[in-house]
Amino acid sequence: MGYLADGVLKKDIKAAAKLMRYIEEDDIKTTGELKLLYPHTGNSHVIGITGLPGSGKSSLIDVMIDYFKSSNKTVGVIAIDPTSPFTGGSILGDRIRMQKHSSDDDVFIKSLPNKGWRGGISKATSKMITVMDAMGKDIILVETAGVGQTEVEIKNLVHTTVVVLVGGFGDYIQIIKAGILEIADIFVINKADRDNAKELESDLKSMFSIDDSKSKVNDNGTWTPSIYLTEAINGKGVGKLTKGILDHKNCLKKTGKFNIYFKKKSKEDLKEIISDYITSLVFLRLESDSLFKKLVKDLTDSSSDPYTVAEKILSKILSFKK
Amino acid sequence: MRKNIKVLLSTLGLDVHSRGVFTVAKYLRDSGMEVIYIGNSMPDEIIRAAIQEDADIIGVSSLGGAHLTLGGDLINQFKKEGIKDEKVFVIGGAIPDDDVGELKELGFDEIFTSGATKEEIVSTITNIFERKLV
Amino acid sequence: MNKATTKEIINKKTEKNSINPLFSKEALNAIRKQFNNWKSSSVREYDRDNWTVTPQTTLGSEIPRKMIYSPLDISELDYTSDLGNSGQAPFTRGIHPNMYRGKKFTIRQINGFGGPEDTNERLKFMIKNGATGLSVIFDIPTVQMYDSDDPISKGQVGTSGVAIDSSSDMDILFRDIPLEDITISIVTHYPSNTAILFPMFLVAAERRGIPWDKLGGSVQNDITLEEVVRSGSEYIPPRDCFRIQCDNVEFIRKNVPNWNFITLNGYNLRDFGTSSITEMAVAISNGIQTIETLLARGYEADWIAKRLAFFWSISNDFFDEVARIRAARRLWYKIMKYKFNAKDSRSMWMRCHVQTSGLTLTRQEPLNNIVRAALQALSATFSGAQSLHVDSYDEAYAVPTEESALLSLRTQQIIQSETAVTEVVDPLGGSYYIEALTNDIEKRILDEVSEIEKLGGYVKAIESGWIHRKVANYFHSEQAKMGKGDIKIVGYNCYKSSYKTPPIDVFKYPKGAEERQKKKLAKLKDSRNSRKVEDALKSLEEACRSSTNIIPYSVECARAGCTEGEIFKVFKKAYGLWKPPVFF
Repeated sequence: MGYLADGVLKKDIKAAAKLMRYIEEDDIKTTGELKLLYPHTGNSHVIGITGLPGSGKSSLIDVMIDYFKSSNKTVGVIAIDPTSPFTGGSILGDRIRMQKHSSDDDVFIKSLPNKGWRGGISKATSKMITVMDAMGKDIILVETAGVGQTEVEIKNLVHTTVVVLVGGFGDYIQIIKAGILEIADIFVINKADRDNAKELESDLKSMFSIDDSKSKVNDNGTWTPSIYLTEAINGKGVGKLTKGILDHKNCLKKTGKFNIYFKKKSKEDLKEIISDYITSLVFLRLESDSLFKKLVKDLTDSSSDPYTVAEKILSKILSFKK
Repeated sequence: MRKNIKVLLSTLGLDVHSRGVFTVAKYLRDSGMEVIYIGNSMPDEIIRAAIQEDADIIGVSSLGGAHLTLGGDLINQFKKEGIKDEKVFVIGGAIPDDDVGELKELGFDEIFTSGATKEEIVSTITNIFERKLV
Repeated sequence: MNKATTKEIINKKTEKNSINPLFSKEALNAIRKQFNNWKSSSVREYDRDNWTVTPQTTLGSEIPRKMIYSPLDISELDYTSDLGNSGQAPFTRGIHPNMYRGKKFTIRQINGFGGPEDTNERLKFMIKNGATGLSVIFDIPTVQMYDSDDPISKGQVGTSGVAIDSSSDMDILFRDIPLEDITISIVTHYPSNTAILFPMFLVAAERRGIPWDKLGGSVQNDITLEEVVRSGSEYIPPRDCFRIQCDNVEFIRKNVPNWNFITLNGYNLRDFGTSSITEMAVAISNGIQTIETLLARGYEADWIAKRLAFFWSISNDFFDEVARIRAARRLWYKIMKYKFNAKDSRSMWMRCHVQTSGLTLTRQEPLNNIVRAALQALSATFSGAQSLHVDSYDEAYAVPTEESALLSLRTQQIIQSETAVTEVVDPLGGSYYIEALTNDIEKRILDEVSEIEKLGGYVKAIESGWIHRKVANYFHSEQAKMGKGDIKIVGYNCYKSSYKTPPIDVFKYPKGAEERQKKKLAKLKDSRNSRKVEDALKSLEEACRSSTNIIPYSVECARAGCTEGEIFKVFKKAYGLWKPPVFF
C-alpha cells in the first residue's frame, strides 16, 4: 500500500495512470492510496469546460494548453466523452484533438466515458482530480460533453466553469433549457468568425445583465460572468480567455473562495464515501439474508410496496423505527 | 464498477486510410469495450497515450507498408519502458502473410488481415486479453 | 442571405420550355387502361402488395424500383429537351455524337515506387512498350507533404508510391521522358500537395527547355480528398484548402493550357462509404463553388469549365449506375447553361473518368471479382463515360500482378471488340426504366445539392462536419446491413464456400529508398542558395496571407530548391491547423 501514492507524489505518470485505472474499476485498494494523497491536494486550479458537441471544446483546450505551458504551468486534462448507451462500450475521441501534447511530459490527458459509473460520473472525476492535484498539476481541465446532468454535477468539483457556445444554430437555446448557462463563470463564443457570433454575444449580455465584456469583480466580491470571442482554429482570442480564467482564480483567492471549493469538495467526497459504504453494506446483507430475500420477493410479486419493504429492512438493520 | 477492456486504436504513421480502423472501433465498442482512438500516430505518441490511459490492448492499423519498421519500433518502445508484457498488441491492415511470422516474433500477439469479421476480431481480442492479462 | 439555389434557378428557367411529349394523351390513356387491367387480373396479389422494392446493394442509392416500367412512368418525356441526341444538349445520351465509335476508352497504367530513379526506369519501360499515357502515384509521406528525412516519414518512404522531396527529384523522375508527346496523370489528390508538387514538375520541364503549353495531363486537386476522405496528422482549414484549389485551377488554366487542372472527385468519397447520390451531389457542389469563386475573380464560366472533369465510381446496381451518369450529364449541362450562362457547349460537358468500385471486391473467392468488375465495366460502357479503369480481381488484398492487370485490360477489350455494345450510342436510351430512373436520380442529386447550398456551400458543409456526419451515418447503416446480410455479397455473407482465402500479397518495394532520399536531401540543402530559399518561402507565406494567387510563389520555391516539407510548413504557419470532426 502507498506504492502508487508514492509514485504519484513523485510525478510518475505510470503510477498515476495505474491508480486512475483502479479508480475507474472502483477497486478497494484506491482508498488507502487516496488517503495518502489527500493532504497534498488543494493547490490546483480546476477548470470545467463544457458545451455541446461541435462547439470546439477540445480544440479550444488544445490551444489553451499552449498558453498555460508558456507561463510554465503543468496541465492535467480529464476528457469526459459520451458513451454508447446500449452496449456499455464507448469510443473516446477527445484526446485526438490534443494529440500534439501527447509527447509532452508536463501534460497528462485522461479520457473517461460518461456512463457506467455507480453514483454518477462526478464521483470518479473527483478522485481523478485528487490524483492530478497530488501529482502537482497547476491546472486541471475537466471537459464534459454538455449533453446532460454531468455539467451541473461537476460544478461542485471545479473552481471556474467555462461554457463554450457557437452562434447560429440555436444550440444555446437548448442549453438555456438545461440550465447550464446559469453555472457559467466565463462564456466563450467559439468559431467567432461566424455570422451569428455577435448576435449571440448581445443575447448573453442582456440575459445576464453583463455591461461590458470585461470581467468584473464586484464590491462584494461576487463575479460577473465575462464573455470571450475565440477562434480555436487559429488561436484568436485564446490568450485573452486564459487571462480571464486567471482573473477568476485571483478573484476567488482574494475573497477566500478558492479554498472553500476544496472544503466543499472534501465534504462532498465524505458524503459520497459514507453513503457508498452504507449502501454497499446494506446490499451485501440483502443479497445473503433469507429474510431480506423474502421481503424483496414480496415486493416483486406485487404483494407489497417499496415503502413498506424499505421500512422493514431498515428497521432490521438500523434498529430504526419511523 | 467498471471492468471494461480498454483498447487504444491508432493508424500507424501517415497512412491515409481510416475506414478499417473506424469499423474495428465500432465493433469493439458494440461488444462493450472502451476504445480510445488517437488517429495517425507515431510509436512515441502511441506509447504515451497507452500509459496515460492505462490501455490493455494496443491496436494499430497499417495499410502503408510500414508494419515491420514502425511496428517493430512500437514494440521496442514498450519493451524499453518495461511494460510490454502488461499489454496485448494487435495489428491489422494490408499485411502480407509472409510477414505475419516476423510480426509475431517482434512481439505482436495477433495479426488481422482484411476480411476478418466482427466475431473474429472481438473474440480473438477478448481471448488474448483473458489469457494474458487476467 | 436569400440567394436562389441552383435548383430554383434551373426550375425557373426551364419552366417555360415547350414540351412535345413522346406519347400522345390517347396512347397514354389506352396504356393506362390496359395496365390497370393487367395489374388487377394477371399480377399476383403478393406482387401487387410489393410493387416497389428497394434494392440493397453496396454503396447503393436506396431508390425504390417498381416491378415493371412503362410509358406511364415517363409520360412527360420530351425527346428533344430531355434527351437530345448524343453530342447535343442536354447531352443525356453522351457528350460526343459518335461516342465509342470515335474514341475507345483510354487505358492508363499506374506507376510509382521507391525513389524517383526507380520509377523513372519503369516509366521508360512502359513507353518502350507502347504506352501513350502514364499515371504516377506518390508515396505516403509525399502525399501527406512530409520530407523523406522527417521523423514522421520513417519506414514509409517509397513503399506505396514514389518519393519526391524537391524539384530535383522531379528532374530524375522524368529524365529522358518525352513530356511533350505523352500525357501524364500526376496523382496528387489534394489541393495542397498539388500546389507543391505540380510546380516542381513545371520547373523540371522548364529546366529541360520544354514550354509549359506543350505539357498535357492532369492533376486531381480536390478538397474532398484532403479534408473529408483522408486520415492524416495535420490539416489546414477547409476554406484555405479550397482557396488553394481555386488558385491551382486559375494558375494552371492560364499557364498550362493543355493541362486538366481538376478532377472533381466522387470515387474516393463513394468508396469510403456513401451513396451514389451523395457522391454526385458533393462533386457537383464542389464544381459549382469552384466556378463561382473563379467568376468572382473575374473569369468566364466557359473558360473554366472547358477543362473540368469528374471521376466517378461504378458499383453493383447495374442500371442505377447507368442512369446516374446520364442524370449527371443532363444536370451538369443545366447548371452550366442556366446557372452560369455558359455559351460554349464544350463547357457544358460532364466529361468523366470512372473506376470500378474497390469496395465491392472480396478476398473470399477472388475470381468472383472478375465477374463483378466485368459487369461494372459493362455498366460504365452503357453509361457513356470517357475513360475507364477496371479494378484487378486481386485488388482487395494485393498490388495487382501482371496477370491480373492484363485481365482488367482484357475485360475492356472484350467489351469493346467482341460484344458490339460500343457500335451503338446510348443503347439503353429510351428504356422506360432507364429514363424514369435517370429522371428520379437527377432530381435527388439536385435536392442534395440544394441542401449543401442552403448550408452555405460545399466548403461550409465540410467545415461544419455535415459531410463527415452524412458519410459516417451511411457507412454505419451499410455496415449493419452487410453484417446482417441485407446487402448480399456472394461468397462473403451468402453462398459461402469452404475455399481457403488466398494469401495477401503486397508488392515488395526495393529497400534503400529512404536512405537514398535522405542523402539527396542533405546534398540539396548543402548545394542550394539558402538565401534564395528563405526569401522564396517568406514570399510564399506573404502570398498565403494575402489574397493573391499563391502558385507563382510556389513555383519560385520549387526553382530555389525548397523541399515539400518546407513548403507545407509555410501553409501550416499561414493558415493554422484544423481538426476534422470524427463521427463513429
